[in-house]
Amino acid sequence: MSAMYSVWDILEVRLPGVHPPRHGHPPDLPMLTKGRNPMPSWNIHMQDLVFRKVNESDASKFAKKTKCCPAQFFGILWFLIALAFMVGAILAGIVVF
Amino acid sequence: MAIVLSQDDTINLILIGSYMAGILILWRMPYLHWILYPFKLVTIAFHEFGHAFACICTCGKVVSIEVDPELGGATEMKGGVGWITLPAGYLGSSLVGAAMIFCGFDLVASKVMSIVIMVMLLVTLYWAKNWLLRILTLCFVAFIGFLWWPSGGVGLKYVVLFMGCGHGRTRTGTPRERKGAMDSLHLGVLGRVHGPRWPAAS
Repeated sequence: MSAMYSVWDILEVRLPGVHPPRHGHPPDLPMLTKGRNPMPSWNIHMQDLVFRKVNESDASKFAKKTKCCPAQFFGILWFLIALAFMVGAILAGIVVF
Repeated sequence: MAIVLSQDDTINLILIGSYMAGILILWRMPYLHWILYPFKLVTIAFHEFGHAFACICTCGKVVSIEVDPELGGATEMKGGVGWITLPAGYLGSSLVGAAMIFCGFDLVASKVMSIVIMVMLLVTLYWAKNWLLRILTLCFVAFIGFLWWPSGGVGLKYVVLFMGCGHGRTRTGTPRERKGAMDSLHLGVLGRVHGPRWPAAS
């Protein structure tokens, strides 16, 4: 059973148009997740900002304005900054209080 | 410099870890994922507040803020510096989330943070354009205000920490205008998938 599922199937991280190689049966995850959101939240965020270009996302508007990098760059950058905020907050919380 | 963990720190770290794991698991649960729904909406409200605040700071004018039930949001602005207002939504709300986690380590700090949260929500209420956002902000202000009473406001600490953890996790500020390929994702958040299924099917 477990051999049928790759980590990509479980996490459902996909690049547009890129599918992981399937050995034998294609796992039918949409059936398992029918009727609810099939993706974890952080992945939705990554999909929005990084993996696909959402034309109206803040990151792509910003990319259009700067004209230097693709929207995905800013998506990753903002994500890393947010991650740094969170790690910093936890460390500061431990040190200060 | 060595970081020394007190017993409280350990408890807080375990809380943060379990909140995050809980949110991740709950996100995919049938029916139970609705528990997170108001928290997702309020995160979007903070995201829009970030845009609005940056707009005011760069001499712009905020016309209105809207949060829609399908987890999108929109801030209508006049003027303001786009270079600052655009990233301010995402970075602003993640900064607020980080501040909540930081304050969640201490009861007094949590109380301070809860006042900051209430003020931010009331400011958002001032600009609110639709009833969902008005009801949402009022309910959260009432909820957080109420938590000051039971057993000296201990609940605030846990709620502030939880909201902080949620901030790192939720998708924020998707414009509701978007169409086409994103629709399946967009609607999928509420469990109503009309469009093509997520690529696992192909």
